Amino acid sequence: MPKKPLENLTESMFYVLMAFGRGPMCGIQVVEFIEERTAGRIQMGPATLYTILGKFEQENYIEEVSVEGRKRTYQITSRGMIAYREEVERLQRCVADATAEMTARLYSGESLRQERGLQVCPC
Amino acid sequence: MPLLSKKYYRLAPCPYYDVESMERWLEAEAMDGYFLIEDGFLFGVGTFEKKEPCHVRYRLEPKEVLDWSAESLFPSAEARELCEEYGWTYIADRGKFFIYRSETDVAREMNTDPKVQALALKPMWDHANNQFWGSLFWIVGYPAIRYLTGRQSLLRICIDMGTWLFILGLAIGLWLLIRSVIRLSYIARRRRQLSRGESMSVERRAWTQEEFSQVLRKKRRTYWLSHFVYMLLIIVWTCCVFRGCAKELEYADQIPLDEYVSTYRKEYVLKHGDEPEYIFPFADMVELVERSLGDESLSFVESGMYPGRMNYVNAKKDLLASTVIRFNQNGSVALPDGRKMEAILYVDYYDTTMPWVAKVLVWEYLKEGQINKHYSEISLPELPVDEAYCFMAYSPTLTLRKEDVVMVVELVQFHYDENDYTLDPSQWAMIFAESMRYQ
Repeated sequence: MPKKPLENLTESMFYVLMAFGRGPMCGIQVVEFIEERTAGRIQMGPATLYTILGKFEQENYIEEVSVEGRKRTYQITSRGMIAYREEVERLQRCVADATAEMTARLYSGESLRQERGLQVCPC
Repeated sequence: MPLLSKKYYRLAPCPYYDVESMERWLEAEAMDGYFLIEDGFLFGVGTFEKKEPCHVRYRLEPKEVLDWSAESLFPSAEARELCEEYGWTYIADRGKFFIYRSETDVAREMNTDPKVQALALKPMWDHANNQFWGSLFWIVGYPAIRYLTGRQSLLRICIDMGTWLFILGLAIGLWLLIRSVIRLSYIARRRRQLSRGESMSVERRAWTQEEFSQVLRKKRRTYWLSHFVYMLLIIVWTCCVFRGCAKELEYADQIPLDEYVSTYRKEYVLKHGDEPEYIFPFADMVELVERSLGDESLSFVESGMYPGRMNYVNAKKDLLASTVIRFNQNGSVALPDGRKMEAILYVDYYDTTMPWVAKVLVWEYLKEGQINKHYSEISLPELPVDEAYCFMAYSPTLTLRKEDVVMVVELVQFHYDENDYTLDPSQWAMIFAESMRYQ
């Protein structure tokens, strides 16, 4: 079955939706929020941002609330909020799976052996 | 009043969708001191101004709207605002891209998420895809449907238009298709690359300035040469087609029957020294009546209907048919017993250069007749030809093929009273079949 356009959000998309969770914002405020939240790890380019805003508006994840000169302010819609929550849950499941796997490997000692470069005896 | 700075014009070295080459070319020009001016792109020609050489970055961003609206001409106010905030200025547009420039090295990249960049290319992909399928439909699909359903006769159009002109048109159509395939595959490659999370700059090769200049020169030569040839072919083809249409509208190729006969006779006498046995490689109305009566002293009187538009001959040569004659005769032949045959006779005659051309022509004429709502078959006796078909559409139509010669005869006979002499289709079909000869 073909994927829906925004079935899996990229990291940038995810953070843009997160930003709108704070309330209505314009593009520049979104970038500032993301930089602050990720401590500068994600520095979003302007083209990436306006492509995401355009796509989200098209998918009805956000809606325009006001226009002041060249500045447009958007707010998240209920559809956007659902998409954001689903993505959070998906990521939480990913993290939970990864944590469980790491714990299991730790208890079996495999991780320790691999770290020390020891061969596992086949017998 | 500010002094106008001198403008420099440069041909773009590549098509608009070759993002990497465009960006590198503009950056190389800036290193030489040539900076693209605002709205400085028209038909692939960039307008530059000279400044102090410096390192700048150019980026091409896909347009959000790809139609002919005003929105497609400039980036949205929001996009401009965001770009300016982060050190990028909108300069111009070319094709389906907006060109931005940053004069500072600290400005962050325009695109920081390749997967989002792939999404931005989606409208362009859709547009190129639609263009490809649209071209394929109009160049191949639609003519094929019309041809196979008998609504269009390709070979007849080809011969009427002139085979060389037809081949030229076909070549232009194929070229258009190939161009759209190249564009489509380029955009598809870029989208796939970006969707995998690879940046566009991954493909940037580590060329030296000299190597890059050579690559650009080669690209520019190929691009503009192919562009020039393509445009030239389109102009030549369009002019030829318009000339042909104008000639047809003015009936310039139609020679009055009596003028054709006298000219043909004169030329024949000059060449062979005696009178020709026949003027046409088929029976005309006089010969038709003469053969039906066995009398040889009849003459033809033109009808006064549509003067200048009837009783003509249009003869030409073509690559697929060494002789093509469109013949029309409208009038009457007086019989010795006082009766007369009043009719309109149309003959399309082709002496083709290849047997398959003759066979396909017959098939096309038949197919065209069969879609007529008044179509009904007329049975024929055994005729001395390879193929013979007769049907009634608006008027009785006879299609004959003898070896490489095809002849289509339409005879409309008028029968007002007992003084009008008429022939059955089986009678006149036999006469025309027997009269088929080479010219």
